[in-house]
Amino acid sequence: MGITLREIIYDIGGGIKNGKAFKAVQTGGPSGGCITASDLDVKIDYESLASIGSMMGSGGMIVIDEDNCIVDIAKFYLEFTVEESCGKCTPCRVGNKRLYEMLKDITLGKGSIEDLEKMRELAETIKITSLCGLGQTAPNPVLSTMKYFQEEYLNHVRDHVCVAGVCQALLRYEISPSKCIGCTRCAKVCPVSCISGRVKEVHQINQDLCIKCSVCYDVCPVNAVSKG
Amino acid sequence: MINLTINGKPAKVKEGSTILEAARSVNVKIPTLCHLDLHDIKMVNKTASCRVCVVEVEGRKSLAPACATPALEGMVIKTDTKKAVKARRTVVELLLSDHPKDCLICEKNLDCELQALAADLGIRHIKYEGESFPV
Repeated sequence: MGITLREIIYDIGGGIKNGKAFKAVQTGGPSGGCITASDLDVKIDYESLASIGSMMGSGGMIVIDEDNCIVDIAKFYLEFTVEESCGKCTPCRVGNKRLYEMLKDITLGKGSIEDLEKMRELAETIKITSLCGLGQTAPNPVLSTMKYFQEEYLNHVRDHVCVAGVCQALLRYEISPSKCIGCTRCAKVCPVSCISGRVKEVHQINQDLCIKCSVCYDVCPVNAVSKG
Repeated sequence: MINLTINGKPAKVKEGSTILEAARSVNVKIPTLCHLDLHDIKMVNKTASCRVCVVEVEGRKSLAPACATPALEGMVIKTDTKKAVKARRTVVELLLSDHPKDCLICEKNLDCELQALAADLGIRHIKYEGESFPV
């Protein structure tokens, strides 16, 4: 109690693996909320955490770095609550399920800007109408990530881009003509044979056939395949 | 006896009554769905699970299900606020989200509580749609 989040993450925890940039920290388990870098110096106690929209909850802390997609994180937490819902009251049983499906659509690139407003409204209603604590807090990760990372949600629905490179459906793999040495390794491993090009010539990915499996990205010896 | 206010109307009910009963005593209509009162065999189902009867109780953050919340002395209840009506609408929209859309050939057509409720709340289109919960 009284220690700051920064001390826990950087001093006790030793910082973020591989020197990645800090994005957010989720405290209080799936019912809690996201805390951004600007609140890292908040002292950890029940009241302070509540004042910045999160909670002590289970006392758990999950640090999210730049390689994590915030929509994916919200979806992950909601998947848990959908699974845990006992199914007694409508808002939690059906509402959280619908919310989860909307998040899933966003990660698949099928979301729209209108969906964001619909999600926020639904989340607020679930909070005030659910029977027990599980339903009343289940939409918290969605609401807090939408509040602090609105831009990232917009990137998904408006530009169809996942900045963190997590949402596979939104990714696009490309071979840089200046870097490609024509070793044919990517073409050999591609499971759908969508990479064309002869030995010692620049290779190309057929975007219509690509299943975004990332194999070419992993095998390229000169890092000519870009993901984004 | 317990005194409370519903939509500005003073109500007086027996101890142990619910908000729903109090509202009915002063002619305030609160829609219900899962609430079932079988007077003959003295069985009352008030599981408060459908959340269609939610109302606003002054001083409480969440909405309260009228069918299962006991009326208390001095309670101030509002059933027609934007917050309550919107929540009720959303709950019915959610119930409809994974409901079969076969009203025309359904044998309960025109004798269906859910259909009547949706009409009452002015639901003209299916707002949420998705796969149904595994049974």
